[in-house]
Amino acid sequence: MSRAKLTGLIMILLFLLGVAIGVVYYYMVKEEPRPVSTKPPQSGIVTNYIYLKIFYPLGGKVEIVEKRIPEIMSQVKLAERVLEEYFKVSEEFNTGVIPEGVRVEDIFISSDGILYVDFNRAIERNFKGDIVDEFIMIKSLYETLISNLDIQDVVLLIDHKEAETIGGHFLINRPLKEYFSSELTPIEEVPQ
Amino acid sequence: MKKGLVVFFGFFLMLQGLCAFSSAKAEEIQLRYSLKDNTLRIVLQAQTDRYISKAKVYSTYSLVKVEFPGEFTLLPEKVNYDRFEYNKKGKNLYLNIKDLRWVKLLRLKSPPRLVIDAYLKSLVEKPVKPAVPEKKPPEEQEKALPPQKKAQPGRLKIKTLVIDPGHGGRNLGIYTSHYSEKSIVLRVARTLRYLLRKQRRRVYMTRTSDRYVSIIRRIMYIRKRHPDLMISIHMTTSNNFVIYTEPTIQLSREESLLFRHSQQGFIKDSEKIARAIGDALLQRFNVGVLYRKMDIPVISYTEAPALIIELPGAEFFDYTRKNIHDIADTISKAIVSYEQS
Repeated sequence: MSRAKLTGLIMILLFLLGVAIGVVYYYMVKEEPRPVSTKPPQSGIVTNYIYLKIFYPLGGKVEIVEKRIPEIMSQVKLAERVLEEYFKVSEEFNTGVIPEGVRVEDIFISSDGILYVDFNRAIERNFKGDIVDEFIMIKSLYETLISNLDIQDVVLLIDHKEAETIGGHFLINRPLKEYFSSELTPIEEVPQ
Repeated sequence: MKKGLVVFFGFFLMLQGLCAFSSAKAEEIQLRYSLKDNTLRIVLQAQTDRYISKAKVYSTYSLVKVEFPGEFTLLPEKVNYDRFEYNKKGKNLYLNIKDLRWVKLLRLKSPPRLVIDAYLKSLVEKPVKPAVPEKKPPEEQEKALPPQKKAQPGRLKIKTLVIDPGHGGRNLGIYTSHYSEKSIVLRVARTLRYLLRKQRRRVYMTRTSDRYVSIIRRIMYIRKRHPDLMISIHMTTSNNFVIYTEPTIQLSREESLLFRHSQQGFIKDSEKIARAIGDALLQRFNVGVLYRKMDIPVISYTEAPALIIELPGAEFFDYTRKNIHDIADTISKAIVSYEQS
């Protein structure tokens, strides 16, 4: 066999090897996304099961779903769990209003019953909604926290600091009850 | 040397093979839907983000067309709902939704998906109720109004206006790789200022360039200018114009003195102007106009008739120079017609 033929044969073999690697990569090697652990945090005294009311936005309104979890006595730990469930429900129902990459950095409950939730900057930077989207995101978060925890009001912080707004429409530099405990009024449409 | 060359070409071909294999695989788009309270939610889930971020969505009457950037295989859920049908044609997916009033669009990641919320007729045809249904006796209502200014009956002359283009600087508003809300609303606001100045009115803007202005600074700026009308311009993710005014809130005498409730005495005028602008926009563009009452700081702190106009999402409306001029022209003419009415 001549050298040229040998080279050609090697090249064809290498090409076939490439295709074979491609097949292996797509059907065997490629990792499936791992499911996120849904285990509750191993803290607090678990004595019973409780139902959490999780509010989520749907079609410009706030809907509610119930989730059963083991009872957690510590209010801070319960707040962490409530927020975890809130994010999960939002993803489950494709609400789309929670910006990408949002994390809870810290939670604190003051002696006067104000819950401080500290988010990372992603909540402000990645928010892409309109007025209603911002309202129902904050409202569903507020309703979820106030319905499940023994607290009076909620204050949102961004990156450990008081922030003015998330999406540029509503003020969050004060407790949320004032603006977000009200209901949305129905829409009136002018027919085309 | 020759051996090295052969190995190099071998690896090159290997990579080519890999690429050819991956590109030959057509994108799979999963179609799911759910119906709740007259909102039909359609979810189109892709494997790669490009198919979602580059997908173009068009909406006309009862048809929503989704144009994907390439060929795809549709994996639909069985549709058991007689008001919703779908058809695939080449790179396009046609969603036919009966009694569709308006749609809202969301692009989500991990997994990449396009969420289309279709609002059906019966949801939006409910009569509008006031925010607080209980009525106080007339004397109490009189007391509840802010004492500084009261709504003037009849004709109102608008000499001074403040235009508030939303967002700006690091606050982009709604954005994709093709557009940002902050730029579009600024262009509309500038054109509106030009047209209103031609009508010999004094016009101020809370921002005239691409810079961040906080909500509090906007409120302070508006209050200082003592306008006869404040118009804030934003953008919605839906295919309609949305006009916001303040709801009526029952207040005690003390509460009515707060800056926070300055708008309460101007609600009727705000609503009349909102209606005039909404009717004009509907006539000019034949795009739905929605009216909503919400307690939004930039309105509630304003001691003059005030409203927020949300422009249709750029996914649904072509923001050419001409269309931007037409929007501003329609608003400026609607203000004139309001004054003359």
